Amino acid sequence: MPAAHSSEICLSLTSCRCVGVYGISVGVFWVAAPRAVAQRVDYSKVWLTPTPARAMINTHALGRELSDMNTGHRRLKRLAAAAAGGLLLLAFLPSTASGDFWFQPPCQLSLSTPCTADNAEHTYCWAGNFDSTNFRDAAKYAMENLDAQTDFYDNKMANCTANTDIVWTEFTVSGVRGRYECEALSGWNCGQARIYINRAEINSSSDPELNRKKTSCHEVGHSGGVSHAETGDDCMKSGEVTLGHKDYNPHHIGHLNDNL
Amino acid sequence: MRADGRRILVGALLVGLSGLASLTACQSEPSQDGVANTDRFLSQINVGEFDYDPFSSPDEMAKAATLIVRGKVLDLVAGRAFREPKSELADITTGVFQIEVTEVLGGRLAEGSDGMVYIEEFGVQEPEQVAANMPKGADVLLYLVPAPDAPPIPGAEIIDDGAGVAPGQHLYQQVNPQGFYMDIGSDVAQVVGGEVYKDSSLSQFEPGNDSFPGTPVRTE
Repeated sequence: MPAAHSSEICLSLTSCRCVGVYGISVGVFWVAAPRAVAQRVDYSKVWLTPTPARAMINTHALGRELSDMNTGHRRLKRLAAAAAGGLLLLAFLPSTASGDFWFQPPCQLSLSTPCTADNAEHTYCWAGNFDSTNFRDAAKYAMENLDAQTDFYDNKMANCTANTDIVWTEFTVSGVRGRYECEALSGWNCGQARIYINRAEINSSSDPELNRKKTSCHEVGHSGGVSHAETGDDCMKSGEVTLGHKDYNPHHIGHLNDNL
Repeated sequence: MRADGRRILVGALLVGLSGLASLTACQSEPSQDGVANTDRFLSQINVGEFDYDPFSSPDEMAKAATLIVRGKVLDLVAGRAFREPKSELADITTGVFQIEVTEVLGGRLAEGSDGMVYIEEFGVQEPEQVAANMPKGADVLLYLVPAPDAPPIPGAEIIDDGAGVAPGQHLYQQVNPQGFYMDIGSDVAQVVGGEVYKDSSLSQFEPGNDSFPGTPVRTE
């Protein structure tokens, strides 16, 4: 299981790790780039000589390119020098106000949580303890609603495997109705997440059926990369509801589709 | 060959300089108490999102909690894990915050307490890496309930039961994600959930205080 921090994209300007990474990259680029060009010229021209006629053309082109090699190398060296200078300058810029600067993902969730699923297909399954018919119905409703309202499409799996996108699981953590947690981050996307549902907490609501659907829709929304909204008729509102709030408003539909 | 040699020399020089720069930057990077580390810590500890009923006042929280304490956060270590039977999925892991109690504001510590409280957190995958960024010694305010002895994942097997907790001591959970506040300089962070209340103090979150900053209303 990848660590949570593995999703962080390092654009730090002052952290020691990033300075090292930048510097070593520049050093390697400096040495390797001109060699790569030389290899491209040598091998590609030989590969492109299947007929005598084309060989003549290619030999001419090869000769012209070889004669330009020194010029090409100088250009590449200048490019490498500019890149090196730019990166080293970045590395020594003063720290931002909050210290390290982390890449802001193009979605709404906090920096440590993934933007969205890894693709439009949202497969799901029941963990062994997710055996309540009422809660399975609510989860199924939430998945089908995502399918109906957005560009995602749902796909129920008979068994939970490492490739299933969402594993519906029951839990009993204090004061929490539902929880979304990514367990397999890849960049800003999530390969597999758990949606935890607290049966007792939700069943204590004044309208348990509505709140089962609302919390299921809420957590599925997190899996698609949207955050909370305390205003408007939308399931991303926090806590118990008494009316409505069991699907996404147009604003969140837009975000869910944008995050794909 | 001479050009190649020069190129390799320059490359080696760049790598060497970057190594030196790395060392310098590492030495100047705050190790424990820096704001940057606290930001990173809050980011690392919040890998999940919740649906919960927010409390609108400290008194509401106090009614739901059985123990309210002020303390200092000492460490975050690996806690018990949960394994589902007949499942090929990875174990569900937890972390345990180890907090030295400095003041009991409500309820009472269990008999035989070592003066610490141990708080179980879901979703902590590599606690030692999160702990490295945690501002150890920071003041915290906690609204707690005992963690149930039964696994919070019904039907799951408990792996490493008692991990992170001193022998004979009890495991707690915060009353909801609002139940764990940390002083981070001039601000207060709700550790679970990651909300930061600017220009606030822990006392504003204590029972009886009527200047509770509350939960920010997010409209996106």
